[in-house]
Order: sequence, then structure tokens, then C-alpha cells
Amino acid sequence: MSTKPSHFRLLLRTFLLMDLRGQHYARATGAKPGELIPPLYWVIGQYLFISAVTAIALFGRVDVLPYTFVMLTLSALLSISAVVVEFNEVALNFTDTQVIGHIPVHRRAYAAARIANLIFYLLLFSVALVIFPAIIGAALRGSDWSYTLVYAFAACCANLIFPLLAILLYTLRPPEPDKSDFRDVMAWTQIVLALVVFYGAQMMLRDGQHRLEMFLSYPPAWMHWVPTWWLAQWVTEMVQGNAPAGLLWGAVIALLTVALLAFTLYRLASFYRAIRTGYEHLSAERTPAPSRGIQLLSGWLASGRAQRSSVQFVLLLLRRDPDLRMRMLPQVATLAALVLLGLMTGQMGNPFAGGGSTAQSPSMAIAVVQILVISVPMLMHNFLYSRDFESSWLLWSAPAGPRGSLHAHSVRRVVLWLVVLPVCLVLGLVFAWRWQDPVSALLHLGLGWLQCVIISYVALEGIGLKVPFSEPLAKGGLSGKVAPLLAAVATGATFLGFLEFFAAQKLLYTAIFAVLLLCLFAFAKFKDGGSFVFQKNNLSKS
Amino acid sequence: MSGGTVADFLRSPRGMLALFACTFAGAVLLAVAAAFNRPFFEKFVAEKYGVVTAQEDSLMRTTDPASFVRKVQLLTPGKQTRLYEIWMQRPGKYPEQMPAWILSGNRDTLFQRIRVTLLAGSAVQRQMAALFLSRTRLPEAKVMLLDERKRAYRRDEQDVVSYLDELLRTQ
Repeated sequence: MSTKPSHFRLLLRTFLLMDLRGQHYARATGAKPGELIPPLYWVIGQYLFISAVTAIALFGRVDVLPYTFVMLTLSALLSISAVVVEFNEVALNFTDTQVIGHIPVHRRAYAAARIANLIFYLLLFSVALVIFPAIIGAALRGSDWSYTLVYAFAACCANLIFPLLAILLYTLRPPEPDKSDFRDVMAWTQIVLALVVFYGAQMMLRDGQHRLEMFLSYPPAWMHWVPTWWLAQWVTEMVQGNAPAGLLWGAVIALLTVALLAFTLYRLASFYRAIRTGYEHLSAERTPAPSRGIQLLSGWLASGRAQRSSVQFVLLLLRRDPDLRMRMLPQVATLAALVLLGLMTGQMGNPFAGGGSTAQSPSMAIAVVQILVISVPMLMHNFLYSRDFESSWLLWSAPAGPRGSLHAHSVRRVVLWLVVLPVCLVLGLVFAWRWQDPVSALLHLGLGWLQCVIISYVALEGIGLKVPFSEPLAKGGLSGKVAPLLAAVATGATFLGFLEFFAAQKLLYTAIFAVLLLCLFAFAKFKDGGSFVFQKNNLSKS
Repeated sequence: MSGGTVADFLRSPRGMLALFACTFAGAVLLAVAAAFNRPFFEKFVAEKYGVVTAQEDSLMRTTDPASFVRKVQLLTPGKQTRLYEIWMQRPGKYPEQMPAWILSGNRDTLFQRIRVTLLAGSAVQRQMAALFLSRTRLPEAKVMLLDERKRAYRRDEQDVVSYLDELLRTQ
């Protein structure tokens, strides 16, 4: 019988091997299992990119304290997302019990191997997140090379403390296998942050009023309660102020990290015992039964049996295919990033509140809605692809017609009502809260919604959605084929955005703009109705 | 080493770790290069002001302070900050009391505007803003100058500290 240390060594070696070629970031990075460079490498690359762009964008523009705060917060957020995404690989894998459950591995050996694995994993990410800010931060005015050491220590502690807290929070729930959806969403955190950093850096460089630098240098009171602010203050104090007194706090931070590690070790051991005894009794995951919700939704979205069945089919695949949902997230994530930036930089003004005399620019409020309009064709285009594209011959032979107009309309309705409308509602709430004017928010989103509907009709023709779910997803296929349409839609939506910007200054102009949109809507609907009748005639002839 | 061997090596844990090590080494080099080129990055830290028109210039060359102050008070906050930007471009061309006259408008907006210059302006612009503040001879302006001195001290900017000391002595 093996001893406990050998169990620990063997388990740790296996876990590390599995880490280095883990596939949980495959969707967010686009890497495939057979590729030479595994997804983990691209994630490390993304982390380096995000920290490098942020550090360079802030270099010379803000002082040591705000710089450190931003970099530590970013680092902690990315570490938390890394642990949540790879929780089963680095902290606790429910299927481990099937492999090693019959071997008398002590739960403490398992927990210790998992913790060692977790520390390795987090340190790997920490190195990627620390290199740029620690070295560039040392060259800030009022800083010196001691900054590199102090920042590296603080960032490593933050990158351990916050993910460990997330794990402890996770272990509070009953031990049962995780659903992958939430982890998939978290895998996109880095994409959202990359977008925020990319757009934020550009905005900071172009913003003549230097709102982001002002926000960071004169922060609101609530920011002083953010734990990474305390850490940033400690780093600044160590570099610019009283280092001996700061050393004591450094020791406290290190002790806190070690204590948290020990407590997590204990919790993981208990959790492992719980799943070891309870896992065998868990019932097998149920196959999705015909859902009452889908039936209700299809009844609401469509009239007639054929249209309802088609909508039910689209909804079913939307529910079953996580890749499809993931493909839609970048568009929504871009909107989230723009809203955050607009709110932070004060460019989310009300376009209907007197135009140019408003205290805040309304440019981002209009841009956000126009980006949503532009994303409608891409959202619809996503439905062309499927993992099970080989089964699409069934759809080709279905009575919806060889050109698949019925299914294309189902996709249009599902995208509009189940993706675009909820986003519009959330945006409406944000605008209403920001402007303290629900009527303006309703009007702004109403005009945006009308544009989305018009674009959805235009896209029906443009994206060639003959039979949905009928093509395999190939590199470049997602945007390459529809690039001309997207360019045309982007131009049209930008023009409409400008029109709204000027029309919002007077009620009469707004009314004219709304009438123009209604005319466009009637034209698009009429044109689509004509082609649908034409297809039905062709179908009856054939 | 053949292509297959390189692929095999990269697929192994040791190869993966070597790949990470190379990437991190490259990142360190880039970061060090950026850190040693601070002047290059600071070159882009400066405020941009619109060109002064002849009408704006003639307004600023006033010889009647009372009339100028009345005009300033009628201007929108945006136009009042524009006067500050005009002064920043040609501080020597206008009367010495001009900063105090400009600040007869919306003080909060103007102080906020000056704060932006002190934070995001070039070294010369920051000194001009400090000069503007000192010429107003207002207590709030003195507090801002003291705050700026503290910041310059924290940032090891000895020349700025000396300049601000000089200005504060004349207050």
C-alpha cells in the first residue's frame, strides 16, 4: 500500500499534466484539442496583453496609487475568473471519485494535492499578470525599483486571496456536479476585460477632458472601501512613505494569505469527503424533457402550427447548444463594455435633454444602441452553424420549403424577442436610472428597437440563412461571409445614429425621424412579404 | 531537431513550461524597454487647446476690467473655461490680473478645469496652470497650489517643487 506522500506526489503530477493541456478555455480562445499550442497558453497570452495595454496606457498619466489600484483590481478579477472557469480542474473535480474513489487516498492528501495544483496554477497566471505592471510601475514618477518587489508581493497575495475566497464561497453550496454554463460565461470575462481595456485605452488617449484619469486620481468615496484600494495604498506607502511601518502590514497580509490557504485546504478536504460518499447516489443527469416553457414561448412568438414547430425547433437547439450561446456573447459583451465605459467617463448623457447644452455628452448612449442594431445580423448569422450540421438534411427536406424561409423567420423572431429585447430592457433600465427620465429612455430604446426590427428583415436576405444549423463552424466562416453585409449595416446604422443625434434636439425632428423609421419598417416588411409569397408560389408549383 | 521532435517536445509538460518561460522572458524584455523609455510615453501627456481667434484675442486684451468681468459672468461655463485655455496659450500677452477676472465666473467649473491641467497637462502646462492659480490670489487657489506641491514632491519632481515654492512665497 502506498504512503500518503506518494499519493500526494502522484496526484499532483497528474493534476499538473492535466492543467497544461486543459480544454476549458477552448471556447473562449478558439483552440482545438488537437492543436499544438493548448488553450491555456492563449489565455496566458491574453492576460499578458491585457496587463501590458493597461499598464502602458496608464504609464505617465496617473500617479503610483491609482496605477497600482487599477492593476491590482484587474489582476484579482482575472484570477477569480481563471479559478471559476477551471474550478473542476484545479480545485475539485467531481469525476475524480470515479477514478480514485476506490483507492484508499486520504482526503487530506487529495486536498493537499489540489491546493498545490491551485497554487501552481494561480502563480502561473500571477506571473503573466505581474510582469508588465511591476516593471513599468517601477518607472513611474515617484517610484523606484523597490516597487517591482512590493507590487509583485501584493499582486501574488491578491491573486491568491480573492480566488480562495471564491472557492470558499463555492464550497458553501451542496456538493453536486457543476453546470458548465456559468463557467463558460466566466471564461469570457477576459474577453470583456480585453474589450474594456482596448476601448478604454483608446478613449483615454482621445478624451480631451481626461475623465478617466480624473476619476482615478480623485476617486469617489466608495472606492476607498474596495480591498484592492487598501492593498494599493499599502504598496504606495511602502514605496513612497514609511517602509518599516509598512513591513508590519506586509506580514499581516502574508499571514492572512497563509491562513486562508489552510482554511481552504480544510474545506476542500471536507468537501471531498462529502462528494465521495454522496456522488454515487446522485441521479444521472436528466435528458431535457419537452419543455413547457418552450411551448409557451413558441406560442407567443409564432402563429400557425408550422411556424410554431419551427420556432420550437430553433428554441430547442438554442437551449441545447452551448456553443451557439457562447457565439452570441461577444456581441453582448461589447455592449456591456461600452455601457461601463460610458457610465465611467460621463458620456452617457440624455440625447433628448436639450442636445448640446447637456452637461454630459450623449454620444455613448447613442453608440450603444447603434452597436446593438449592428449586431443583429451577426446574431442571426450565428444560427447558421451547428455541431450537428450533418443532420440538417432533415431540415432541407422539411415542408418549410427548399429556401428555408420559414426557419429563417423563426431565427429572426427568436433573436429579436429573446436576445435583443432583453438587452433593450436592461439598457432601458440603465438609461432611465442614469437620466432620471424614463420617458426619454423609453423613446431612445423604442427607436433603437425599431431599427433592430428593420435590420432583421434586411439581414434575412443578406446573410443567406436558407437552412439554419446546416454548416460546420470553420475558422473565419463566422464573420468572413457576411463581412460586406455587416459593413453596409454598420454604415447605415451609423448614419441613423447621426440622424437621431440631431433629431433628438427638437421634438418635431424626433417625430420626423420616427416616421422615417416606420416607413423603412413598412418597406422592409412589405418586401419580405413579397418574397415569402413568391417562395410559397414556387413551393406550390413544385 | 526534426519538426516532429519539436512538436513532441512542445506537447510535453517540459516543452509547455519552456514555452511559458520564453513568453515570460519576452514580456520582461518588452516591459523593461517601456520602463526605460518614460520620456517617450510622457511626450504624449499634454493638453490640446483650440486656436485663438482674433475675436477671442481682442476680448482678452481688454482695458476695462469691470466690463470684462460682466461679460465673463454672462458666458456659459464652457466658454468661461475657453478663456482659461486662451490665457494658457498666451500668458504674457494679457493683463496680470486676467486670471482673477476669469475666475469671477463659475469658480467650481474653472477650478475643476485647472485640476485637469495639473493632472493631465505637460510639465510646461502644469507650471502655467500654477502661475494662473497664483495670480488669482484666492485662498482656494493657494490650497490647490499646496496640494500640487505635495504631489510634485511625491513624484520626485524637484524643479516643479522649487517653482511652486517660489509662487507660494509671493502669495
